[in-house]
Order: sequence, then C-alpha cells, then structure tokens
Amino acid sequence: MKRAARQVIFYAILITLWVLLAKLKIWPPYIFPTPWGVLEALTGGFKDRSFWIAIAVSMKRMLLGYGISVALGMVLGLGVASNKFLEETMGGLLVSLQSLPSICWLPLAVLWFGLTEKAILFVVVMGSLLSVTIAMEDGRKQMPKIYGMAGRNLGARRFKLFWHVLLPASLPYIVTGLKQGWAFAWRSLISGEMIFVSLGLGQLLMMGRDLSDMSQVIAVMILIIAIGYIVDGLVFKTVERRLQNKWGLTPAT
Amino acid sequence: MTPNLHNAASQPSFAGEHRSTTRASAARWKTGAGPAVLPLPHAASETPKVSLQGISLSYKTNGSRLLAIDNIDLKVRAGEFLCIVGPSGCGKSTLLHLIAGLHKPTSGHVLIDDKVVEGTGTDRILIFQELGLFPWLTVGQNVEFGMKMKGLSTAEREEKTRYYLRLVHLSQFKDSYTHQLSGGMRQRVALARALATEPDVLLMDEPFAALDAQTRDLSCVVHISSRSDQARISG
Ligand SMILES: Nc1ncnc2c1ncn2[C@@H]1O[C@H](COP(=O)(O)OP(=O)(O)OP(=O)(O)O)[C@@H](O)[C@H]1O
Ligand SMILES: [Mg+2]
Repeated sequence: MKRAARQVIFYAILITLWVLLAKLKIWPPYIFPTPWGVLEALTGGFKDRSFWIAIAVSMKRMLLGYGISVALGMVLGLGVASNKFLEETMGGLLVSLQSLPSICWLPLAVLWFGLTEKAILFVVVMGSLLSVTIAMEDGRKQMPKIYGMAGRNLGARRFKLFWHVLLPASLPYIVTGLKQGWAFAWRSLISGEMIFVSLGLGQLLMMGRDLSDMSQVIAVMILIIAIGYIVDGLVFKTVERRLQNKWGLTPAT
Repeated sequence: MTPNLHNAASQPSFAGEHRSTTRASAARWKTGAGPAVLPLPHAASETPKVSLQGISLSYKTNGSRLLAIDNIDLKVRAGEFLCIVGPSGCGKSTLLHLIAGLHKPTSGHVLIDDKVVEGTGTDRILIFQELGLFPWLTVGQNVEFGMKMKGLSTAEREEKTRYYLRLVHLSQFKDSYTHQLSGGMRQRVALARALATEPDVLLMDEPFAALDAQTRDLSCVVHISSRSDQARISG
C-alpha cells in the first residue's frame, strides 16, 4: 500500500510539472505537447478506432512472430544444450549474433521478402529468437539432471521425454528468458513498423511525425509503453509466480 | 571399493566373491495376506531375470578416472530379493543406475531374461536415492506417469493410481504437490510411482531411509514381497 501511495505521488508530481511547463508556453505545442492535448489524441485515437486497429495489427504480428521464435528457439536451444558439437560451434555464434540490433535484419528481410508482412515477421523472429534460444539452453543446463533420468527410467523417450519432462522441468528457468524474448520482439516490431509503413503502432507513430502532431506521437508512445508493461507486468509476472509456486521454488504462503 | 552383494534370504556373499547369489526362498517373504508365494515351478524361473556379466564402470572426473564398479557378476532370479550393502560412496547407486540402463558400463553387459539390454526400459524401474519426483505434477500424476508413458488407458491408469496410493497410505494426498509432503511421504510417492509401473525388476536405492518402522512393515514390504514374478534389487 505504501509503495502504491509513493507511486501515485511520484506520477502526480510528474504530471504537475508537465502541466506547469506546458502552461508557461516556452515551446510551441508541436514541439512540447500539453497533457490535455495528449489525452485528446488518446481518446480521439480510440474513438475513431485507428488505435484499436493498430493495436490489433501489431499484436497479431507479435503473437505470430513470437510464437515462431519460441517454437524455433526451443528446438535450437535444446539442440545446443544437449549436443557438445553444437554447443561449441553454434553456441558461440548465437552469443555473438545477440549483439546485433534486430533492426539490422531489416534490409536483408526486405531484399528477401520485399515490403511484405513476411519481412516484418522475419525481423520480429530474429529479434527474439536468440534470447529465447539462449534462455532455453541455459534452462536445460540449470535443470537438475535427476528429472531427465527419472523420465527415462519411467519410459519417456525422445519427444515424450522432451514434452513431458525436460520442458516442464526447465520452465521455471526459461520463463525469464521467454519474457526477455517478448520484450526484444516488441521492440523489433515497433522499429520494423516505423520504417516499414503498413498499419501497426509503429506506423501510427511515424504518421504523427509526418503530420507534426506531437500529441499523437506521445499518445502512441504511451500506448506502446502501456502494452509492454501490461504484458510484462501482468502476463509474465503472473506466469512466473504461478510456475514458482507450483514447482515449489518459493516457500508456501 | 565395490559394494557387497547381500542376498536377503541366503548367506551374505562378501566383497570379492561376486559369485551368483543363491536362489532366495520366496516363502521367507511370504506374509499373512494372500496365498503363499512359492518359486515358480517351470523352467523359466531357472534362467536369471537379471544378470550382470563382468560389469565395470569408471567415471571420468576432470582428467582422472575413478573406477566405481570393478568387474561385477551377479544373477537374480524372479522372486528373489537382493540387497546390496556397503559404505557410503562404494558404488551402490552406480550399480543400480547401470542395471536401470541410465549409465553405460565401461565394460560388460546387463542381461534381462538372458538378453543383453542397452538403455532404459520399463521392465526395470529404479527408485532413485534422491527420488526424482516431478514437482510440476501432483502426487497422483506422478504415480500415473510411468503408466502414461507405457500407453495404458485412462481408466486403467486411474484405477491403478488409486490402488497404489492406497497401498502407501497417501490416498488423500492425490491432488497435492510433492513439495507439500514430508520426506517420508515423498518416499512413499516414489515407491508407488515405481510399483504402479509394474516392472519385472524393481530397483530401489535406499528406499526406506525416511520411512518409519510402521510403514516399512505394514504396507510397502508386504507388497514388494507379494509378487513372485519380480526380481528386486535394493541398495
Ligand atoms: N557422476 C559422477 N561423476 C564422477 N564420480 C561419481 C559420479 N557419481 C558417483 N561418483 C563416484 O562414484 C563412487 C560411487 O558413488 P555412488 O553414488 O554409487 O555411491 P553409493 O554407494 O550409492 O553411496 P551412498 O551410500 O552414499 O549413496 C563415489 O566415489 C563417487 O564419488
Ligand atoms: Mg547412493
């Protein structure tokens, strides 16, 4: 409760400062927007459904791209974790590729796929695939060996072993990586959409710039932050807590 | 160091001897419940259920090799109960892991019914020293796991799960998670999980360490000893 109160006070001060600065009119509103202007842009965007459409388009791309990279990353991570040769070769490559900002894949994607939905998906997948793969690999290594042995002992083999034992056993260890993968995917998507004009939140942001509508720019930025926060803070935190409770990793309350 | 092979129902054989153990008299393990359990009369019981031929295993530990099991031969027939005793670190767990197929022997073979086996199989179920219960599954789902892997029908699995949970007095904990149980209760879950898979060879790595004497006498041992077609090896 105390923490919530402090946060309320903090944001109240922040908004008051903003209001004050806007009232002083040092800069014109297309450079420094007013809080009410942003609020208007937000409500307006939702009212004329352009925000809803952008959110739907962006989320659809996210789910698809993130889904692909989770599925691929699990296979890759598992391969790297369980094969000495792959670990020594691919392992290093994956880590070094991670230093490449995902937007660097865009030129390549555009040449391969043209200005299509596939190009955006490719950037999103490349943005999160590596962190999902590395998380999966770490998870498999951190996971106590006894589970794999117990699974094999009870007759689980190959896919069954992976699905019924190795995957659930390493879930609490990989969920953090999955969360990071989501955050990377989200960033890649927005940057991709900004360059690559075709609906979505990133494009809405660029449209605000083209129209010199600073209020819309800020409104969309708030939207991007809010969605990122909701998914991270609500979805992943809940999943993480649930997993840890169920796996007995936290003391029972 | 190698463990002594200690036949529960016959003279203990000591380290270095490693000769095949004598046939256990199953009647010794007979209990009040059910008909007398006698060794099977037909010839099949004469071929050993489990036999190890010149099994050795050495662990590679950063550069050096540690010989944990040195050339062990043993035979266990169906209906027999073999106890492996020895000080901590002498290789009891290693030997049981070898029979379960979780380790590959450096040399020698593991034979089941006179056939060389490699890798794991549901004919040999091991109760691990550290149990290895799955924390993401409930007690009931843990017990059900081996049966599910074997492809038993849902109805059959449910019935057997209920039966084996009652056997270890954990019926009311079917929907609990294993971290909500005590150490001894967990050990009983591991026992039920292994028994429910109904293996030909039951391998137990210090299975009763955390059980109280009452439970030890009453439920588990009664069951373990009531199948004449099963070989059991306990470390
Ligand atoms: N994975 C491993 N890598 C290297 N050495 C090992 C490994 N597992 C066991 N050892 C060694 O092999 C020997 C036998 O170990 P094992 O676990 O079989 O003993 P144990 O008889 O079961 O002992 P305890 O009664 O304490 O359980 C020990 O000296 C141990 O240090
Ligand atoms: Mg041991």
